[in-house]
Order: sequence, then C-alpha cells, then structure tokens
Amino acid sequence: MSSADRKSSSRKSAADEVFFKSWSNGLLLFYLTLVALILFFTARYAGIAGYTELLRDPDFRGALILSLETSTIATLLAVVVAVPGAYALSRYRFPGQNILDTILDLPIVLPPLIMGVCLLIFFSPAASPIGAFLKEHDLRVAYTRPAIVIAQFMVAGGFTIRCLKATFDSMTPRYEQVARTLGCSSSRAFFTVALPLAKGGIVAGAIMTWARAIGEFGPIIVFAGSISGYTLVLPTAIFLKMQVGDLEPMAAGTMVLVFIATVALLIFKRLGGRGYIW
Amino acid sequence: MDEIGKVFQNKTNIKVQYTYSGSACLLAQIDNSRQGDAYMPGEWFYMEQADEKGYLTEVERIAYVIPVIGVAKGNPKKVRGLRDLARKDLRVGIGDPHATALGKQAYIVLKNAGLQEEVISNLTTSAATVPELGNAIKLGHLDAAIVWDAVAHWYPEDIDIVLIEPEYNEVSTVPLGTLEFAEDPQAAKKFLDFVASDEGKAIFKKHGYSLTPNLEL
Repeated sequence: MSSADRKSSSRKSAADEVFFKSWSNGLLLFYLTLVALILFFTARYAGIAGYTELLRDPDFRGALILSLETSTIATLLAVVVAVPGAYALSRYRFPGQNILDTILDLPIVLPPLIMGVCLLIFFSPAASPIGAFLKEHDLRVAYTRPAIVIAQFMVAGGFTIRCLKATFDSMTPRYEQVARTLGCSSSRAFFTVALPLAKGGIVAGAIMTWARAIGEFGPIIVFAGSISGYTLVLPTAIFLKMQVGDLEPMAAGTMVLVFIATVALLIFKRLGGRGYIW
Repeated sequence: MDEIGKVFQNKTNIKVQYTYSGSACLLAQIDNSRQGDAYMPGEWFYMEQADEKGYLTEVERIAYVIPVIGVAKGNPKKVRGLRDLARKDLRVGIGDPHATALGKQAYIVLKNAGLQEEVISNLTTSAATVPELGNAIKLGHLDAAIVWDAVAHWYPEDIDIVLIEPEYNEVSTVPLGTLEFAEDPQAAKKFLDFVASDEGKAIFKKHGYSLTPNLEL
C-alpha cells in the first residue's frame, strides 16, 4: 500500500467517523428535544391555576399520599420475594428454567390493564375458588386499598426480579463458593456474602420498582376502582381529571408524577444502577 | 354502534370511525381538538353543554336509557328497590358521578328517593366506566349496581333487572348530534338521518335500548 492510498483511506474513515457521530448524536438529540418539548408544553399548559387548583383539591392530595404509601408497601413486598427469587434464578440451573423465566416475563410484557382483569377474575367470588373462599369469610379484596398494593406488586414484582437477577448475574459466584468451602452453609453464604455485595443493586432495583408501582394505572383502576378518598391514586386521579375535561389540573398532576419519577431515577443512577430493564 | 356503522357503510359507502369514551371525556376531546363529525353522549345534559358552546348543527333523540338495579341472576340477595341499596350486607356499585352520565343520573335518582347519603356511604365502588359495573356483578364482586337497562341486557345469562320505583326514577335520552367541525357536513347529516331512521333505531332496540321512555322488558 502506497502512502497516498493510506492517506485517502484514513481520510475516508475520518469522514465516516464524522458522519456517523453526527448521525447518531443527531438522532439522540432529536429524541431528547422531543421529550423535553413535550414535558415543557405539558408543564406550561397546566398554568399556575392548574397547579394551585390541583394542590387545593383534597381528593388529589389524598391520592398523592395513598400513591406514596401503597407503592412503598408494594415495593417492600416485591423486594422480599425478589431477592431470594432472583438469587435462585441467577445461581441455580434447574429443568424448565426457560419456561419459568418466560412466566416471570409475562407480567412485564403484558399490557398492565390485562393484569387488572386477571386479578378481578382471580378474586371473583363467582369464578374462582379463592374468591369464593374469601367471600365466605367476608373478606373483600376488589375495590379496596389492599387491591391497589396487590396490583402494583403483581406488575412491578416481575420487574424487580429481573433487576435483581441482573445484579446477582454481575457478581461472581466465587466469593460464595469460597465461603462454602470454608464451611459456610448455602444460606449463610447468601446472607453474609452475596447479600451485602448486592446491597447497592437491591436498593437501586427497589427504587425502580417503586417508580414503576407509583406510575401504575390500568390494573389499579380495574381491580381497585377509583373511589375518591379511598382507592383513588395519583395516576387514576389524573385520568379522572381528563375524563371530566379538567385538562389543566390533569397536566399539573402529570408533572407531579414526572417530578417523582425524575427524583427516583436520579437516586437510582446515583446508586450505580444501570439503564437495563432486564 | 359498530353494527350501525357497518350497515351505514354498506348503504352509503361512507366509513364511520368511532372513538368510544365517557360522555364528559368525549366532550372534553371535542373541546380541545375542535374535531369530529358527530357526538353521542349517554345523556341529554351533555348535549345541552355542547349546544351552549355552539358546537351542534342538528340533534336527534335516538333512544332512551333507564336506570335499573342490576343484580346477579336469580336475585340471590333479594334486592327489591332503591332502599335496599343502603343495606350493609350488600356490595353496591354506581358510576362515578363526574365521569359518567350513569353515575350522575344515579345520584339524582337516589336524591329523589332521599337515599343519597345512606347509599353513597354504603358504596363498594364507583366505576369510571359503565361496563365495569356489569362485569363486577357478573364476577360476583358486586351484589347490586345502578346501571342502564341496556347495559343489563348485555348480560342475559348473568344479570337480572330490579326496577327502580318509578316515582324516583329519571329516564335519560340518548341523543346524537352533528358537529359544526364536520369536515363533510353532508356525510354527517346522512349518518344522523340514518341512525334516527326506523332502521337505525331497530339496531339500538336489538341491543337492549328502549325506543320509548318506558322500560321494555
């Protein structure tokens, strides 16, 4: 290869570099601008009146508090189930693992509304033995506050397991193996070695679960209803505002959710969480 | 409405596109988008609102919907009338009074009967959409709900109707109106005329809607 050839090929690759960079960065910038503009116009549309009307509305304040409470409880439940579950998925190989894995993905990929319908059927006194049993003991689940937590837990739980499995996958199993060769039982190796190492990932996963739970809408409105002062949560309150044509408070409520999600994401990133979903 | 759209299209070659939602929500959508050829709320009240805003060009009464109490087949809880909806052993639902015409009407009916407070405090749920109530009765989550007679007719196997005392009840009119935003006003007018014709109304009747203000069982 002559030096002239080399020059032209390096020039070509430099041109290619510039083109590729501006192309990929340009598209990214386009998308970012779009997101920013959408949020900006929504925030502006709400207007000062929208925000003040919203914050004065006792139904909305109640919905905000209930959202914070239920998504926190749902997250705690999800983490309790997901930590050992994700650990097992990550460390052990067993027959049918693929099928199990697929079932775990279902709550994540199915439209959340469908989960609400499934829960209504699952707890139906007319269509399910579990519902019939609960009714016999005069226990009601549908259209109650626990129904909100169940709906959030079911949808966000699969997501928590995915998040935490990624954490355990990224940790080498060698430390636990060493602990076991030194005489630790499997459970002791899990609690004293794996768990402390995974702490950051677990907290990050919990925050993402919480953000997901607080934004949950479809299964809640179907399974828990939207009763003001009882089962009305933030996303359903925003939806009802739209239903009655109160668009300014609706936009304001949307910005409250955006704010909560942003804070959660920032904490997530701060704790070293990565942008994976599963 | 789907069936009406098909029959209408076969006749005229005009394709009808529907957006289904609660009456108030649809009105808000019209308000914001300034689009649409025709509007069909579940209650005359919303038509008046649309008219006040000057959106309507022509309106026809199409059918009547009558509040009834929907209960599980065979009426196992022996619901006999509005007063029973205050019973503590019943799980009762009505429509959300802001989001649905049905809920608004239910509040009026209960007020007529002087039972508003007692029943509202006894509610298990207030639904954001009407079919939710029918589904909840079918699945056994509710023992009774104030629904439209037409809705109860959608569940012939699962839901029985208990009549509301006529002295308290208020019948609703389902109107259809053409909008001034119509891109093709002639096509919109054709659609209105077809739905209001005997042929169009017969389709409503087939689906459980009353064509007179009296309940047809």
